[in-house]
Amino acid sequence: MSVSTATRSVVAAAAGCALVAVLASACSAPRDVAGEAQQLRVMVKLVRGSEDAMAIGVEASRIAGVRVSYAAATSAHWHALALHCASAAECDAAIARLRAASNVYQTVEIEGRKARLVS
Amino acid sequence: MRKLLICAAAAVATLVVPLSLHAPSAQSATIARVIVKYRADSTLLRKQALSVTGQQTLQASALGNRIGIALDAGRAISDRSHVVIGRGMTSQQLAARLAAQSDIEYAVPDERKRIVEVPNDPFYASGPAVGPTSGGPVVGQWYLKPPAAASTAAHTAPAAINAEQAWDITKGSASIVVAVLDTGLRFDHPDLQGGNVLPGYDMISADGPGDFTSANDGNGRDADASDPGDFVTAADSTALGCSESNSSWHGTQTLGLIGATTNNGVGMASAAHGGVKVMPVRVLGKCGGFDSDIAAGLLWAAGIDVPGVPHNANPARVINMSLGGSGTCTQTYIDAIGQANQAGAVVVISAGNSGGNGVSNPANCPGAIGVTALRHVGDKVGYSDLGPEITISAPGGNCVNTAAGDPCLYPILTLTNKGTTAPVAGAAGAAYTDSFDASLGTSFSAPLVSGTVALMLSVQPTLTPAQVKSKLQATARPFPSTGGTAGIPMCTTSSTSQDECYCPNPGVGITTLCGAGMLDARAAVASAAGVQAAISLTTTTPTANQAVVLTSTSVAAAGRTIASYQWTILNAGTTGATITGANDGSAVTVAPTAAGSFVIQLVVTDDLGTSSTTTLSVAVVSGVVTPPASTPTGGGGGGGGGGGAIDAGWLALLLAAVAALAATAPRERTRRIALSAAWRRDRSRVRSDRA
Repeated sequence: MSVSTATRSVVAAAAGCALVAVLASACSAPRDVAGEAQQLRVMVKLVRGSEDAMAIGVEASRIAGVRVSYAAATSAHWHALALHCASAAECDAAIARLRAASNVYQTVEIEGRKARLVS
Repeated sequence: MRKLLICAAAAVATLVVPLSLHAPSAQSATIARVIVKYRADSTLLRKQALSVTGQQTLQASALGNRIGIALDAGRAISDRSHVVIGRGMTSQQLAARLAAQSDIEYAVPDERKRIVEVPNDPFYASGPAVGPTSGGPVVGQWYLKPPAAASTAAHTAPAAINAEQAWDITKGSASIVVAVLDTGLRFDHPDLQGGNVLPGYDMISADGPGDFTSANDGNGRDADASDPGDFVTAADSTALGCSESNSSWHGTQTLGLIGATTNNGVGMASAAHGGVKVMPVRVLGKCGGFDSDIAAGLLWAAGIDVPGVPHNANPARVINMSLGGSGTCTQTYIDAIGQANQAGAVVVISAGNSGGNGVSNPANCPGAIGVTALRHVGDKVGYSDLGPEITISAPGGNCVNTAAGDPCLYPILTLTNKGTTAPVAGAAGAAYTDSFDASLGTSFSAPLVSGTVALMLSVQPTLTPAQVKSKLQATARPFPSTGGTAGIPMCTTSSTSQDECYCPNPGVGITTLCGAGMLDARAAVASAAGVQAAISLTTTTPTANQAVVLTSTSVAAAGRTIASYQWTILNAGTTGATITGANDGSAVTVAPTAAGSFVIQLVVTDDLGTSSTTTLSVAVVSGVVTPPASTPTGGGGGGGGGGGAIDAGWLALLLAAVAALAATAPRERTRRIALSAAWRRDRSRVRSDRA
């Protein structure tokens, strides 16, 4: 295999993966954005660290059963995700599914906001 | 006979002392003055039917005899403490000799003190003139002063942290970085132009794709940590879920307390005197900030890489977080604080302002130094939260009188900006909080601790976060039980909110709720400045019947030197370990004769007489014993026979012992002569005093 052929193969594979990821994301979203009434941010700690935001979001969508958008990285292991749900109950169920995936997530907790402490 | 003995002792001392101290003859006229305090169980404290002066003359004499130096008693300080005066050496040298005595709790040079340098920043002494709607406080930066200086005719202020006298020890090292995780900074404030402000980072990410409402700067994470304002409009309030408000300039306020340029004749002084570096890390925007951004800021500040963010080339040793929320500590913060601690960063966090409820998150997390807020008189201020997770307390600002329009008497004066929404640029926008725009909250207690920690690390950068916490606690002043508003109760472990109350002091069976006591910056920095004892085991595998070498890896504070070492086997266990040769060098050789473990102690004293003690337990394995053929092996066990050749370990041990003996014999012999003469002198003086 020549170098150029190899390069083309890698590019094609990457494009394929990206397409699959987009499709997976779309497929895993149970309802369209307009139908989402709730957004809940969670912090997840990955069993195996990763800095691939897209892959982390796609996998979370697949596992949670709701649309998940990637929010922010705290470290290679800790990431913030936004769950988009139709109801609070659906978000609760999504979190339960994420927590059950202990081979992927070491910890799943609801993300909070902190404020300055003036009286 | 008595005169003869005194003359003999004096003659021997004259000959011996300069030799043993290696002191140049020019020092023979030097007078050493040292303050000694005897241990409570010292035999030198046995009561005699004498005046205090008479007793202390006896004590000084006996003490001098023990070290072979004639000592006179000087001024009495307490029943266990007085000045001793010797000749022919410096106060530092005498203090080091005395500090090594088992009867002595401490021995420090009795030095002349100059008037403490008070910074020339005008608001340090007193805030701007009080008018109908601005100015003050009259007491200026009361919280940084010694308690006595912070007090007025009307009020005492025992909670003041005494940073002023800590600055006599250090004004901060530029190698220490304090990160301030907050709303960012107004870099253009005239009181931040001392060259000690690092650029920092803006860690606030988007609220959602393309949504930068919280960040209020039109973008996500970037290298611009300036504060664009965190004002909340009606629309923001709806979108983010908090109340409408003006911009707070909170990050400028908290950072100013730690690092405002000091003694520049402008505005205010800061706890770390502007000598350490300060670095804003922007994690709070409109309606606060997300845990993911705060934890990312915490890691980045400590020098730990965050995906997508450039490496921090200036890792912080102190991280101030004047922020919090309700709930128990979450794993996000447990991990982040743990990693920061592991990287050497001390994480200081405000307790929370929910009116005396449990400690907020993340101040309630392991590894955090949680800080409760005190009123000027030292009781817990009403707004401050409290609980067993707290490490220490510091002033948070309080007003005393609350009638409408009255100036707040004890706020925390600090930097701010005049803008109500966007900042007002340059010097025109620079301002200070005062008695009307008062800074009050645990937000302002934490920076006072952070600034103190930065000074501690400036004099002793090797301190770990755990050691810093321990020293802060050990040097804290006790909480008062009087002086608060009439009728206020003691704080309790009650789960209900508690307004102003007296904090419990540590004790057996006591759950502390405001930490170990009131922050004492001077005492904490002085404690850090002392020598730190440490032992390194040089011998790779300590083996029975082989010499085990231990080396001091003790560290003296910047500008200090280690004056003496004292090694002692505290517990030989089954090893039969003994020290061979000298026990007062920077290394020691120990001879264990059997397997097991022994505990050795090292006491090091620096040139100011400050001591530090550490111990090390050393495990000893069985050696390959090759007893002579004629030696009975006893019952049981195998053990092969062997020739009569001497074991290599024994040979090494023997050689080490011989070398040590050769090195110390002349000195030891001389010391014994001096002690013998001194003992006779002591007896004759005692007889004289009793008569």
